[in-house]
Amino acid sequence: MLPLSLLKTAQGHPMLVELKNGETYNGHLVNCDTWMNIHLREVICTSKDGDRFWRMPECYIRGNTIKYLRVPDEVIDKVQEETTKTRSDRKPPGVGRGRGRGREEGPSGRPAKGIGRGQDDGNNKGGGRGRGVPGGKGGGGRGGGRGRG
Amino acid sequence: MSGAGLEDVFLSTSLASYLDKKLLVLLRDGRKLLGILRSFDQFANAVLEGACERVIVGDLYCDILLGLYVIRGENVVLIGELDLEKEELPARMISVSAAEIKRAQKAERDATDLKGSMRKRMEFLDLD
Repeated sequence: MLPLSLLKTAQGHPMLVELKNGETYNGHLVNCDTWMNIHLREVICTSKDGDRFWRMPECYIRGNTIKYLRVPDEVIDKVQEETTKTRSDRKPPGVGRGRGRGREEGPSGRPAKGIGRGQDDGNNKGGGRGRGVPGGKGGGGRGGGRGRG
Repeated sequence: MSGAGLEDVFLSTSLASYLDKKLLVLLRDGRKLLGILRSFDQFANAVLEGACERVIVGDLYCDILLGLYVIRGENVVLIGELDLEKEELPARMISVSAAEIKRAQKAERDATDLKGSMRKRMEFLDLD
């Protein structure tokens, strides 16, 4: 679990952000990215001395101006829950990827696809191809995660 | 493939050996944070659980409980492990309440501000 994934988990939670210049921003986290840029809603900004306040409906803070973030204690329990969940979910997408590739790369893949598409339209809206791509993507992303962890 | 032994981990510049240990983190603004390191990354961004700030003014000190902290690595000056066996503070240090330490802190800040302004006023004397 990386610090930034904890931040991602904290989406929707209230938090306090102190900038390098000493100003603090209290608000609910809407979104964040890999540069620690963050988007807050219902924000109260406090000056460095803590004597002046500003309210704003939302704000965006560039990551490199941040000193630290104070997040609710329960977020760390939540992030552990989520990582164990994704770990247990890992195997099925891997199997899906293998199957998808085989179908696409196989020698009889082309003609079969033509027929398959017709069938898929009749059976379900998500075609065989469509299912294969997200599966492969998910599997790749998770593989990266495993390497890091 | 060279398997990294335990010693290699300890000799490396990684914070891995500090995971789940109680640490002292000194920030660039002079703040001292204590807490358990739960996570870090290549920028030394760090997650401290049960963080508290130790404010020291003269012989007075206070640990102000803060909670879960995500510290941006840029602001970290040093990270060190705390020896839980040893008494961390000299015997003369006195623990006081948060309100009291805030008052002491403000008094100290006002004093340094005054010193600065006095020096400014006396600049014409060319003290150096």
